[in-house]
Amino acid sequence: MPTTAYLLLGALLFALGAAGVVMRANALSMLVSVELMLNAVNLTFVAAAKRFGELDGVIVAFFVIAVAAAEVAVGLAIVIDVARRHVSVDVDRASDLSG
Amino acid sequence: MDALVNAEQGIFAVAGAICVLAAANAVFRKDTLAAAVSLVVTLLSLAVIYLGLGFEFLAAVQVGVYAGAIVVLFTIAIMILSHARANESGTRTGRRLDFAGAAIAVLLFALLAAAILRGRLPVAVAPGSPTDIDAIADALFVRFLLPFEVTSVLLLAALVAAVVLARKRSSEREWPRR
Repeated sequence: MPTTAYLLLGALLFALGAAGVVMRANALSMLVSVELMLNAVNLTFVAAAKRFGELDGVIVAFFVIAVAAAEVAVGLAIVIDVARRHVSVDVDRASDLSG
Repeated sequence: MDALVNAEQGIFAVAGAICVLAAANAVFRKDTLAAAVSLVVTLLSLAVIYLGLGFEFLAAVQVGVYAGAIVVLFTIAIMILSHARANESGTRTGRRLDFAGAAIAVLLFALLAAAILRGRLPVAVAPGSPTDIDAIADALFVRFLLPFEVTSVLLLAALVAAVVLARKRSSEREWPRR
């Protein structure tokens, strides 16, 4: 399988995730979309690792997974806090900081 | 060898198709629990693709950490927030943002695809797959030891931050009702 096929799948997933982050108003859906984007980048790294026969891309993928775990923990905590204040997970309602 | 290449292609075709469909479902589904389940399907199909590429340990980590821990966290948060309302349409109130999001996604994909298809990847010096668990351990615990240790500090910081942020403040009322 040519590496470009994997890269194209990664690009497609990344674009889908980007669309979700911009279009969705639900904070939980936005976090799901961010996870999708992180996974798309992981796939790209792994495809590169396969092509060059080096493990570095796989190691980066491990670190991305660890960072994603931290990001989800903090992100969900923020969403829960926002929901406690606004009774909503709609990001458009969480506008306390906008001037 | 030929059969092996064909197997990899078949795995990629099936898992890739499932991956894209589930990803689209996860992004555009209004029901967040259904979106979380679709995310699991996406992550599992990616794990299958990693298996097809010969990275067994990464596939195991993908299933364990991503499909296991992270999505369970999502599901718990969705259950905690089940009474918090999202707005009715599920997308942003302004139609302009919908249009902008779709345009951004299409343009982004077009740009990336053009770069991938037109660009020339450097030729692999020694194509192969050093997936030996020893090699992974050597890379992780010797060459990348400092980033590995920093990651543990990051995870601890995230743990503390999550507890502090999601803690119920004593001065606050229980979930304001309306």
